[in-house]
Amino acid sequence: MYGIVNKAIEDLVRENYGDDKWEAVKTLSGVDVDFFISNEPYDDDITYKLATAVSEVIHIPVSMVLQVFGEWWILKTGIEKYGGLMQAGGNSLHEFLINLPLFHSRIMLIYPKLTPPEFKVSHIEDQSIYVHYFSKRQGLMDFVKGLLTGLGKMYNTPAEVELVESREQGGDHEIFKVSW
Amino acid sequence: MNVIFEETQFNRIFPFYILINHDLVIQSVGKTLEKMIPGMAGKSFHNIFSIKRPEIASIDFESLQNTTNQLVIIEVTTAKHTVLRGQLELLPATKQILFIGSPWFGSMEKVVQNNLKIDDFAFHDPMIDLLHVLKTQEITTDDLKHLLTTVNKQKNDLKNAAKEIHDIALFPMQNPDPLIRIDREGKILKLNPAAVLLIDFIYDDIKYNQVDFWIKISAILDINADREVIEASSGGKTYSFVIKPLPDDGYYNIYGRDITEQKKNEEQLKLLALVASTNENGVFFTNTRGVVFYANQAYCNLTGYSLDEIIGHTPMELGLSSVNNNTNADILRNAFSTGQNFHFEIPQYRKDGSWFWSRCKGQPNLGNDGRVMHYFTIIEDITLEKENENQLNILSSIAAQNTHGVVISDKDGKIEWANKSFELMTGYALSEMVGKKPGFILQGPETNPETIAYLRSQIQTGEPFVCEILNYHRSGKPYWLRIQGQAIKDKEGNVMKYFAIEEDITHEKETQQKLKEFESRFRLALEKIGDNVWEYDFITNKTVFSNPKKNFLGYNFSENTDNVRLWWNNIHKDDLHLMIENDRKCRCGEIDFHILEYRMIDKDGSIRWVLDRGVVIEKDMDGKPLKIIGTHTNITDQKIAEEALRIKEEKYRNIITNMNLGLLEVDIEEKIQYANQRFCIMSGYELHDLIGKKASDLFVTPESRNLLEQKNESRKNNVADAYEVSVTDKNGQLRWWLISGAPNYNDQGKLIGSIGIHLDVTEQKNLEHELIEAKNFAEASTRAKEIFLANMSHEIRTPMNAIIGMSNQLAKTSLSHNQEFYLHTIQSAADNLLVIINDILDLSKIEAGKLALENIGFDPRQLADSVMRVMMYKAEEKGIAFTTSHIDNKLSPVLIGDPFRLNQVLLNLLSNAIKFTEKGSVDVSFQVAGDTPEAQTLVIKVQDTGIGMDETFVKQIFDKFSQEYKSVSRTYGGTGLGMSIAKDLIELMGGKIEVVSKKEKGTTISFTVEFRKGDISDILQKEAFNITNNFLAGKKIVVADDNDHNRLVASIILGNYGAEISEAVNGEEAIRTIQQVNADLVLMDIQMPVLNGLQATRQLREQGIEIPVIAVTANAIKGENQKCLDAGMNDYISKPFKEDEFLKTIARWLKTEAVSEEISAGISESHAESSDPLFDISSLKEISRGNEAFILKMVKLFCDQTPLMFDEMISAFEKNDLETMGAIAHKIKPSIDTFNIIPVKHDIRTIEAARNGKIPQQDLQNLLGQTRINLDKVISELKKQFQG
Repeated sequence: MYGIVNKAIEDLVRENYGDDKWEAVKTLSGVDVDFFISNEPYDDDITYKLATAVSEVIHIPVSMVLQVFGEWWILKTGIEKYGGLMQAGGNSLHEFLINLPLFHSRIMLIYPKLTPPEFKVSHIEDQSIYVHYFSKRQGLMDFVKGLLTGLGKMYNTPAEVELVESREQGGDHEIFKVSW
Repeated sequence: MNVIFEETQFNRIFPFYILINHDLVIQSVGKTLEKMIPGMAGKSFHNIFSIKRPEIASIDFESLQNTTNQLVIIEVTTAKHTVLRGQLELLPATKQILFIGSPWFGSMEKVVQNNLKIDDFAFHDPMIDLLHVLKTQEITTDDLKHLLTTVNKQKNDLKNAAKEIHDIALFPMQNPDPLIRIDREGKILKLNPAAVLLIDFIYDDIKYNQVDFWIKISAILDINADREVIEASSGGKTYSFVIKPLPDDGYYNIYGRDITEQKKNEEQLKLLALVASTNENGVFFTNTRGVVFYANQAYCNLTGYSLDEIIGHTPMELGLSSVNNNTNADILRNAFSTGQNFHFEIPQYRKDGSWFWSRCKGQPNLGNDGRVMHYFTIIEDITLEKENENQLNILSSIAAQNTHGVVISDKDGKIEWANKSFELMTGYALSEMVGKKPGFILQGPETNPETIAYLRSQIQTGEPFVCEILNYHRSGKPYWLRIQGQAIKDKEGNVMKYFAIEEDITHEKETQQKLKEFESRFRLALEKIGDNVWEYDFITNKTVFSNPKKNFLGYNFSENTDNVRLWWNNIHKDDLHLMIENDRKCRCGEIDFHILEYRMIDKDGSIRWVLDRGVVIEKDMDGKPLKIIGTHTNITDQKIAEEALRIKEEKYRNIITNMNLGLLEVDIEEKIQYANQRFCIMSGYELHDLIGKKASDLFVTPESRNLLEQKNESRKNNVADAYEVSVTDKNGQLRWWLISGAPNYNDQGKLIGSIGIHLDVTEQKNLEHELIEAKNFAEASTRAKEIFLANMSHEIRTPMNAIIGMSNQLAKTSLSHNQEFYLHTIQSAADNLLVIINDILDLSKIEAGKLALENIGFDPRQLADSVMRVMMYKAEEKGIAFTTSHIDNKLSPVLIGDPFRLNQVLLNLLSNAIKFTEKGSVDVSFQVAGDTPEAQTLVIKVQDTGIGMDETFVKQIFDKFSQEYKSVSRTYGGTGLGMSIAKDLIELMGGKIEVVSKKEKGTTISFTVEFRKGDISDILQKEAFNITNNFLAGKKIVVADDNDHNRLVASIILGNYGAEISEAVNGEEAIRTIQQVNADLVLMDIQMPVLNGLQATRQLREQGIEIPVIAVTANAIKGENQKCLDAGMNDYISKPFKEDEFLKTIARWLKTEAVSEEISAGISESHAESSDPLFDISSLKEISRGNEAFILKMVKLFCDQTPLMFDEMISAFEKNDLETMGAIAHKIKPSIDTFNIIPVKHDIRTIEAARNGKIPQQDLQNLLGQTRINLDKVISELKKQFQG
């Protein structure tokens, strides 16, 4: 994963829980990296270790960490670092979700070392959309869920995200129903 | 290449394009550009854009045309800083210039400011991505800046930290010792808190203040020297100062240490050493690390080391403690390090390797502050002392550890010491026993006084003693002791002490006692087994008895001393030989034991049986017996019982041998052990042929072998049972045996085989077989009958369809009176024939148990009404009254059952009643005989005043084909099956039927059936159709039937309603025709040549032809319907069919515009549904004899009068004046009959009859309404036909 992801986790912990907790997370995870460079790829394992350690240090389940982190990614990292890009994604949650596949396809070329997930949308209704998530990575469903609820908050459209199908249940990808 | 885009496509690919015409007017723009700058189309290019690159002096079409083939940058004049980059292309065909490109944004924020979204850009346009890359680069740069700052900060932090550490190491401020830093001139640069306290110093006996002191000292220092040490006093304490020059920094670090204590100790030590030098024991001093720094001469002498060899070494190095005794060495080391006193005994090795036991005592010499300064240790040689002690230890250990009690007493016998075993043995602690005499505390009431005296005497004389004595434990429990003791004397032979070893022999004593008791019990047991135990001596010829007082054979044993009488004279003469032979064998040593049973004569002369068991217990050198011991047992009772048993067994054996059942006993391997006489006869074998043979090999047929093996297995599992098996006897005859087998056990309950009782059941089996064959034959006959009836029914129904169909068609035509009579006779005969056929079929179904009843909801009132209506004509024809005398008010509106069969029964009973009644009346009544919330029991009674029956015939009225006289059949017709069927149907419904009849008086037939109650939802709803004259107009229907007549019937009926008919004579032709005419529906006979109806339908469906296929078949067998549906047909009509049913079925499948409405299902359909013509004036014509004016007048009269009369009738009904209503109906009735208005004929009679008030109000109202509608239709039609 690109350093920006780990950096975002760091920012999340530092801003919400303080520098001490971040040091505790680093110690517990055994990740001895002082500075994550945003556009350098790091081993995925580092991200998973950090998420697990955050869960233990803050005493919330890993799934919750990933969800919170997903929202943080949109509301802090996304808006602060890529504000323009995020706004160009659409005028509403509805528009943004429809543009999501295009958005991600464009990113793929910009980050050659990235293994980006692929998104598709279906069942487009006024108040809900099915988001299909194809990824080679396992275990990031909750992160994606957080991203989707974060998007809802970004557009002041509180959204409910329901996992309709998943690889764990025998599907070949995850399907989230986003309704608002 | 010629590429043509649609506008939407072009917009999608180039959403920022601008199309300009020759006059530089913008003709159209891309959708996104339009979104950025709305309303450009139609405006001049000049007014909105300026060209930034290339530089164009004056913009016109020509100049723009020349700027193709290069990068063009256009600025939006209305929004400075908004530029588009791209290229211009000339479109020569239309003389237009096309700009293709996209806006150039410096950042993503600009995109947003321009209200653009990601999907406003073409997919191929990398603008958004470039901005993203730019953003990413910005972030990377930011990251790197942050990283650099972080690294720099860390570097500086590290530097500062290193310096701090260096400083702390050289000058630890917290050090309790004084630290001073001075420069080359002695100026104080830094003092730690401890150094601040040193205000002045005495050095070389001169006192200096702090400042002067260090100036003084600096004068003697060399900055380039290694280090220097000085001593000075301050505040009453002596300090040592180590001075470390740091030439690079140009100053000295001075490390002070308080050495006051050290100085004092050195003085004290000098004094101690002086004292130690005179001590005869070895003395040495060690420092806190255990190193000797002083030793006296005595230590040198003891160890053999010189003083030089001792100083500077630890006592351990000098041989104190051995390698085998690390514990002491550890204690010593530990004592040195912790500053404790020590005192222990430890080997001290000398320089020459020899060693001595030393007692080491050491103590620390502490300073004022409580810290250990050094140790002072004294070494004493205690080797001799140790040796003595060891010897004593060994001895006392022997005494102490001894498992026997050891006790030492003084010369007076008072206890001085005793070991643990003695304490355990006695229960007293040593401390309790000391000073007391053992006898005093341990002896008790049962201690032998003689033994006590013996002990006392031996002790007094100082002699050793050995004895066994009973002593008492402290708890009071006695125990046996073996005591061995003796005196300990001094050199002069005076007794000093006594010691004794005491062994607990209680267990030994108990064992001896048990042995004695066992012997005694054993003898007693022997005596119990026999009546006595004897011992005979072959030498002395004497017999002795264990219990001489006991009685034997009426003699006591004192009288049995006569050996000859005992062994010989008393024995029964018949058994004497046994005794003689046994005696011989025993005396010559052939046997050494015997078991004999013989009779002896009692003293009173009675005979008794004796069991004599003996065993030789002593023999001489030659093996001849010397002594024999044995028992006599009286077994007279046992012998009597055995005899009784033997007699009984013989009796049973005789029974078995002679009984009429074969008995066979086989072993576990199925080999025959015994067979009785009867079995031999049954099997044809002699007993000796059977014994030892396997039963299954001899008798069993191959078919029975498995069964027999199973049974043998089950015997092993203790199962007894009976079974039949086929066998062959010795002559090879097949026989059937019923075998009752059971496992056979021996005395120990072990399975040894089985016993079977055999009964020859061959005759019964043969009989049974014949019965089965007879049953099969009967069933086959029944099946054949069924098939015959079904076939016959089919064969008759086929032409019947044509007869009835054609008759109906003929009836619609204009006929003469005679023709009508002939036709009526044909129809009537055909109907009768159909009834007969249906009866026969029903009968065969009932007999075969194949008649299944419906279980559906129906309205019993409606059923009654329907039956009445149907039979009304027949009654009227005969001029007899036909009434419903009673319909119970409690009658449930809906019952559950088979209304069709109930209807059939009622019609049958009523038609019989009408048939056999020439005058008087027929009445039907419905009575509720039982009513529960769930069910009602109905008694339905049909009563007539007809010819009645003889009592004898009443009894056989329900027999099949029964009619009272042959002449009845001839007079009244019928098969004589009706009553039988009625009875069977009622019984199938769970009811019963009764007949009461009197010749010439009439007959009453009543039946009782229970029906479950239902509600309106249980009544099937079905659609009703109004069929119009041309409802089949334009419909193409194929009629497939191999029977010409039937094709004709169907074609005529359908043709009447406008259908276009095509005919086919077999299935193959039908398929072809359907395809040719593009048929809407096909009527398909089932049994046809070439390809039958089912096959044809399957082929149609396989070809994807989905038109409705309706089976038309004369096959009335149950299940036919399902076969048709399974083959893909849609519906089913059975021949002969009723025209209206036939039409309704077709209408339903063609979904013609028939009006449908929900009506409740009844037995008969509303006349409104009928497709028959509404009226028929042939009768009127006949009356008129061709007078048209008369006809017209009658028609006019009818059309004018009837509605008025009807209104009156309704008015009467509304006033509840049913009498008037009925009277008017009676008046209208003849006209309706004259015009033969079928739909109303029934209804007007019902209305007329309703004057009796038995028809519910609502039903009557409905009936009036329906009748009025029908009459209006008729009047309208009449007016159309006759009044133009």
